[in-house]
Amino acid sequence: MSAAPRLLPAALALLLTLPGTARAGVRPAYGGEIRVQLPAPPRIADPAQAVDPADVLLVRAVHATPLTIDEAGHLAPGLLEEVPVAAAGGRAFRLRLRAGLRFADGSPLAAPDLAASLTRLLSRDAPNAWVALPVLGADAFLAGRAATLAGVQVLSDRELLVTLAFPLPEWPYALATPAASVISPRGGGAGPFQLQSLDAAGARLLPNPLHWRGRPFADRLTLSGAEARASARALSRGEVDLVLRPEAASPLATPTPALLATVAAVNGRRLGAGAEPVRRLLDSLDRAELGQRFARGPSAPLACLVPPALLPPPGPAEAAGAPGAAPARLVLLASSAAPDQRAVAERIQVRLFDAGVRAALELEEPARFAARLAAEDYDVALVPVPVQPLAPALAAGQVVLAVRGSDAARRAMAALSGPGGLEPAAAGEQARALGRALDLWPLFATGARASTGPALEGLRVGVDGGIDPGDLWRRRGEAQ
Amino acid sequence: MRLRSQLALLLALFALVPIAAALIPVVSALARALAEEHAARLEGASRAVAGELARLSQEAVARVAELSRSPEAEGFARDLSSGLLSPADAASRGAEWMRARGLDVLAVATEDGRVVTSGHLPGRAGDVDPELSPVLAAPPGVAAPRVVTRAGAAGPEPSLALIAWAPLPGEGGLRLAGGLELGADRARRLAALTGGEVTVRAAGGTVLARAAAPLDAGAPLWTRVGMRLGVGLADARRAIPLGAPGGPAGEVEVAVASEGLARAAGAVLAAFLGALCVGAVGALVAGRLVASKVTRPVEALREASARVAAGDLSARVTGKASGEVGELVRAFNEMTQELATGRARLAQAERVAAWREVARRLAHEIKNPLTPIAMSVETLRDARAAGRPDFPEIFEEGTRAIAEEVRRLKRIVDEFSRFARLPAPERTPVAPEELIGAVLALFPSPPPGVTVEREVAPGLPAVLADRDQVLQLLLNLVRNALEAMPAGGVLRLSAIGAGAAVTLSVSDTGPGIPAEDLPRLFEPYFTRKEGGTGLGLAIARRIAEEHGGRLGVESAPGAGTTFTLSLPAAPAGEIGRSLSAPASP
Repeated sequence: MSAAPRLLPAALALLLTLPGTARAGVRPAYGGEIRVQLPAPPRIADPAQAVDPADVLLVRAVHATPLTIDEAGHLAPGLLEEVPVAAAGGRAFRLRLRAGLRFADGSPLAAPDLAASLTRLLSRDAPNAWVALPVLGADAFLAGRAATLAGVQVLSDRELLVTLAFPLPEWPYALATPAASVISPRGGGAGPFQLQSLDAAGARLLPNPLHWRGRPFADRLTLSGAEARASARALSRGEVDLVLRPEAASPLATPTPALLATVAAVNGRRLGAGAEPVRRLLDSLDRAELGQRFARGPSAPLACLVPPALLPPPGPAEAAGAPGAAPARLVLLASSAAPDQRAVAERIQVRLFDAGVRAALELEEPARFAARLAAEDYDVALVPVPVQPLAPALAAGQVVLAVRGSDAARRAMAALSGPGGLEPAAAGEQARALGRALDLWPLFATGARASTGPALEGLRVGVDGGIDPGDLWRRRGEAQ
Repeated sequence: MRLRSQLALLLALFALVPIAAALIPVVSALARALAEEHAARLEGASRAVAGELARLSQEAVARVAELSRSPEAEGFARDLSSGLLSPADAASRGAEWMRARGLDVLAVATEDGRVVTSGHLPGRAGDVDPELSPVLAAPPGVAAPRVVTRAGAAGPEPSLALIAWAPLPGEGGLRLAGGLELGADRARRLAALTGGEVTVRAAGGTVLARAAAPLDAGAPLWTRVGMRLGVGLADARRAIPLGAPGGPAGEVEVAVASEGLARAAGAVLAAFLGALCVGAVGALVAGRLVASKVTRPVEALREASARVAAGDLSARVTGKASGEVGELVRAFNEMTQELATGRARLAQAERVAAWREVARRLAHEIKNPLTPIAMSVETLRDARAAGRPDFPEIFEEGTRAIAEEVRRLKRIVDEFSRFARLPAPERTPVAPEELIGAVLALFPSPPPGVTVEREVAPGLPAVLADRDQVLQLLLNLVRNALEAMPAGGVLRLSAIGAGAAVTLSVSDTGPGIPAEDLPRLFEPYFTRKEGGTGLGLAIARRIAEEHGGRLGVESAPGAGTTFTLSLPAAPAGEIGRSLSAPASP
């Protein structure tokens, strides 16, 4: 049995029962508008590109995934009729769609759409390529040596056979993530809502009566962005129903699972012998203190590439390689998009300064940050990586893809998988060794806090940190 | 160095020394006056800087006190103590307050000095800040200078700031420290205030900030010259220590460049230097004119003496000269006149002596044949008168003797005539090899026992020569050589290059010429040969000289004799013309 299925029941503790569900006996009501406020308004509704929490929430609203995570933390059918069973030693999966599926625009949703949605994840700059990387032929497709994905075979309008390049029994968990949502050739979705408008102010959505679970409760859904104090004021005045952000917007805010990992990448080629003292310093950082003091959301220290929700943290690490002379100066690269990243970078800057290393902190906007990361134009980089804590190999693949690229990500996923899975302790050590081999030093993962207004019901946060907007409803008679 | 130049320099020096001597006291007095003025300005600037630092200290105290009493600070302390404010939210608050309140340094720390939030070094949150601990240990409400580390673009960097602290309300014992940095911006403001240069240093001497008033950057040339010469005041500085006298945290150094004073000093110096330059040029010109007038007759005397030494006795010194120099010129002219007259007389005497010698030699040469002729005539007369029967034989013998002596007389006359009337050479380019070949062609079979050697260096240029005259010369030398080797020997003819000339040599291995005869060898009528006229070698030397060449001899008894004839090589153009010209008929 693999590590993830063993741990997922334990993750039930993370299944959050919020005020809505606590009120037993209250029947869900249709109608009304649900207003959600995030740190920034969503900008992207494409499952292949969405990584920001606001964008991911929009994807969850507009698109539907082949599988879902049930309240017990197990895989459950979504667009698929049933959860696929691994065959060929964990390398083959037969996917069968429900009958009569349609996109929000009325067009039928068939197996070729699912195949195309998986295939379009594979491009050099796609952040969610990790879903399709284990599929057979993904490397050839990425390199341009193949026009189609060899491991995806459409058997009929409703059936698809997916063959992986290496055994990965946990792969169906990837089909439960927003990245694996099925998108129509015109860009439409089959989620509980359909997009009415998307602009700088936010996204406005209308219900999709063709959703496979039926029409959602709310008549309208609004996703907008605001800073922390403005959100808290709006929530207290009843102007919004749900605030999802790292800071608490109300005293009863509930933390969500830590989904955003912060990983320090060391550029050993640029630092040379000076890299070793830097690695030692990164290794010796108090990750719990770092997350608690400098991350505004709930945080969890990361001892290896896999979040602790999936693997028990490995034991104390031995010191890294032979000590060398610390570099007098280095460039510490961080993304300017996430305030927490800046704070953590400033903390590491001070720690380096105390160790005699003067680090110039260079903050770059996301596109420029990604370009410099790909060009290895840094000495140490702090990389924020959204991680779906569903399976160790998949989580490691997401982290490695974001920092070291697709080839390294495939190798990482293959190393942490197998037909029978690894024992948790061995998998933890393996994940740590993998991180060191790739010169990646995971620091901590942070989550958000969900602050709800009194009228909101139906909020359920899964172990993957996801919120299904289709579940939300307003109590009848509550003022809007 | 010539006398004229020496005199000119001497006169220039006489003009410059007084000007230069006047410059030193003037510069000294000027420097003293400016130094006093500058000291007053520096004192004023120091007071201004000290006043500004005091104002900044008060401002830091006021801003910190105002912030500590603000509702937001009160709420911060309350939320933090009640746990409503997360550490991360608290950590980010310092930067916001710092920007909003116009502070450069801001931190909130617990009683034990642990930083809750830091605006100037955000990553310090959670640590005990050793740089702020001494400030927090001092009484509140007083700004103290302190070097703290600030987050900069290139990483954390030291900064000198005036920092005060005030307690935050509540029971948490939080302390708010804030301050104003003495960085580049404030250094620029202080520099503008003082009109000079302001440098902020840490206690160890590390320069933390430096700025200069814009006026100094464009100081004109004469001002910079003045500063170079010591009149300028750029080095006048004063340091204002910051902090406790026993251990200051740093200092602010003020350097006031009094631009106006320095410019005035520069103008005075420029005037003096200008006068010095004009005086130097004028003195040089005047000195040269005067020296020229004094030394012109002396120069003329030197040039005339050189001409006399070269043999030109017509050289005279013209021009006006007075005094001793004038007498010297007159004596020189009289002396050269005397020399010319004496040389003419000497030449006349030499010509008379030469004619006498010619007459003597001619009489001697002619007298020798006349005696046999007279005796033969006398014998014939006597025999005819005596009716001697053998008269026909006597007649035959007598007339033969007379005819022989007449031929001898004719030969003598021809020799003299040829010596006297040697024609001017008609020189054309002739190859040295051809000359040697033509001479040897006259001796197809050398005398018994004589070996002829011929050596011509390759690539020799042609010589300018009258071919017939030079052949006559060489033939004469070859005959002499053969006559010197009656028992045989080696006759050697050679030609070698010698710069712009070609040397032709004729050597023999005969007994050589006695050393006492060598000086007279080319004199006319000098001969040791029986029946010789002594004109052969004299004619040979004359031919050589008329060709612009030279004829020499080297000989030692028992070692043979070598005659060398040097002839000038023909210019390349001459050879070309000769080769392209049609052959003479």
